[in-house]
Amino acid sequence: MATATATRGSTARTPKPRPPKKRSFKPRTLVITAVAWLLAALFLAPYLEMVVTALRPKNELRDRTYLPQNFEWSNFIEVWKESELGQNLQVTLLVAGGATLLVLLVSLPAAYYTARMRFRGRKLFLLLVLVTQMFQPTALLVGLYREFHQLGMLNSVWTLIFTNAAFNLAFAVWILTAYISSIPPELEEAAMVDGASRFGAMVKVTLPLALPGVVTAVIFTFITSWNEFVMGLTLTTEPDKQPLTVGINNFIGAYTVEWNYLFAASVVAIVPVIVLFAFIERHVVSGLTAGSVK
Amino acid sequence: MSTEIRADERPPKEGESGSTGAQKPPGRLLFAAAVLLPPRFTPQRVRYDRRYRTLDKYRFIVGFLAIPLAFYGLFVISPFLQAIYYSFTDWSGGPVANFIGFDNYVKMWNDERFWDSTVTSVTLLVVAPVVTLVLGMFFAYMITAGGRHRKGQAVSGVAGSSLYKVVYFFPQVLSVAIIAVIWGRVFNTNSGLLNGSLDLVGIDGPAWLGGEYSWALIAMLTVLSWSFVGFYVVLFSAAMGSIPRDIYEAALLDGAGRSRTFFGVTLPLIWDTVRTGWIYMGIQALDSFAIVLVMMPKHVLKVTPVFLYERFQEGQYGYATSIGVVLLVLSVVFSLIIMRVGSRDRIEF
Repeated sequence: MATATATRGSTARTPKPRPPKKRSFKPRTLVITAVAWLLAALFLAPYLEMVVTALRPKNELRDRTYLPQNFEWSNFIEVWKESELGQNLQVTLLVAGGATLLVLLVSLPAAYYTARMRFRGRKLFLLLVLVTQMFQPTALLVGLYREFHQLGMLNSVWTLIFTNAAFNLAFAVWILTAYISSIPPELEEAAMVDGASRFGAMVKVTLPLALPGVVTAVIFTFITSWNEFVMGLTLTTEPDKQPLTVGINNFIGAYTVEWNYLFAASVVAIVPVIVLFAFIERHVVSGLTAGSVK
Repeated sequence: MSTEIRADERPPKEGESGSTGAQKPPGRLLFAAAVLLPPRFTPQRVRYDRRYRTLDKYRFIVGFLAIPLAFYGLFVISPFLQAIYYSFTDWSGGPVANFIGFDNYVKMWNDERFWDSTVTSVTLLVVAPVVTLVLGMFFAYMITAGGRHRKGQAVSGVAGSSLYKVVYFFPQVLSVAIIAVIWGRVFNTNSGLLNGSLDLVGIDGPAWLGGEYSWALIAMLTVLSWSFVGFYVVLFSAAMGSIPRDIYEAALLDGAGRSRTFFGVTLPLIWDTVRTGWIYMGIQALDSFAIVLVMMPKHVLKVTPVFLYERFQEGQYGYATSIGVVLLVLSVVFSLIIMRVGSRDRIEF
């Protein structure tokens, strides 16, 4: 990287004849780059450890080597067969998908309304959204448990869909409000002059323009619901009704930990997230910080 | 909602939209029906009535805001209010919940386990944001302004800055349960990555999670910073990116170096963002439930949410809710303090 920067710097477009400045490696730049790379490596090491451990054969789990001598790919097959991983994956998929759909259906109109209308209590609504973000899920745990217990909905997929949707609603409304506010309302007005209804103008004009924001909100909701742990832990008790994040912890016994299976399952749980993250990585900066900066 | 879209595209039916009715103002019943009907199916004499505008407005509110609010009320606000109510009872899962006043809070005050876990939580609340924000700001500054001075640019980021952003940010999209699992392995005394690496340079690593409280606390801080710093790198680099270049140029002309520029220009200009991030990070540190529950052995270190969870598992629901209320109060107090301490005149640019 240092050389790349240096060469790019030295080929700077300087048409005027000047005494050729000697471009040597500045030790400062070199140190900064080295530190940056080292830090990046430190940040990445845990993932490598995870993948490597997922592939370790049983008898090499206690070794202090960085890499095992043999790679045991069958860990993945065994963990799939031996545990409830399949069911857990199904639950997680349903929960994340359902919650995302619900959040989209509910938050989009709310965000549209908040962005477009100046109604009494608008500030209050946005404040409510922000303040409730501060609630710790553990603090709400007993109340939610009681509600779903009375409804007889413990261990149900719907329970997790509802709670995840409710928890992600605030963020989605917030981000979508910021996004829709940035789209000039004149566009809609023009469409309405041309005969579109208010709803038609929203669907056909504003929505396509707000699509990057919608995509960001959708994928973020999906990822957080996919990763949710606390509610899954408390609102489900049967191992085959638990989401993936909770199911994984069943490999941690009281006395022994089946590291290879634990990490094989973790890898399975992470892969979809990586794929989705790669998809929105571009939007993360603009989308996530929309409305929060300035 | 979907039927409305379809209705919009369909041509209006004669019978419904025709204004063949009498000229007298439409009755209440028709208005009640008009709430549910899409505009095209609404009889024109209703649509041309003055009251229809008000109705249209309120229909919008009901459809667009009431559902999210109801949802929110049911699953966020209501559990919250219930938590406050049940914290004053001795409810333990059965049908009876006796009102016992502040007994739960008194019990908590005298409960040593509560104080142990809360001291840890408050330590994390105070230290973790500082560590994470300083790291985040350093990385963000390196990314946006740490590069060499190129021609024509007062500031420029290090090469490959977007790659670093992704690397730092990635833990943010992982489940805390998985983060805890990964780090549990990294910190493992015998076969962990960390002690293995320390071994190579001849240091006998400590039992990070198995023994002393202080090592466990350091491990906690490491994991918290690792998993949250990326968000702040992204947040702060966005904030730094929105600072106009000419301010940097002016600082450069005045002979300010990198650190002088940072403390004199960058930090004051992004202070609002820093403060928001500070509050947010504090709340996250206070709620480090999953990491502690999964990663930490029970006897070494506990935080308040874990203490709450254990009471919940024992069926002491009333007591558990009172701990939850204390947690909420703690986070509100923390936010107010940071708001007060961190408030300074906003600089517009």
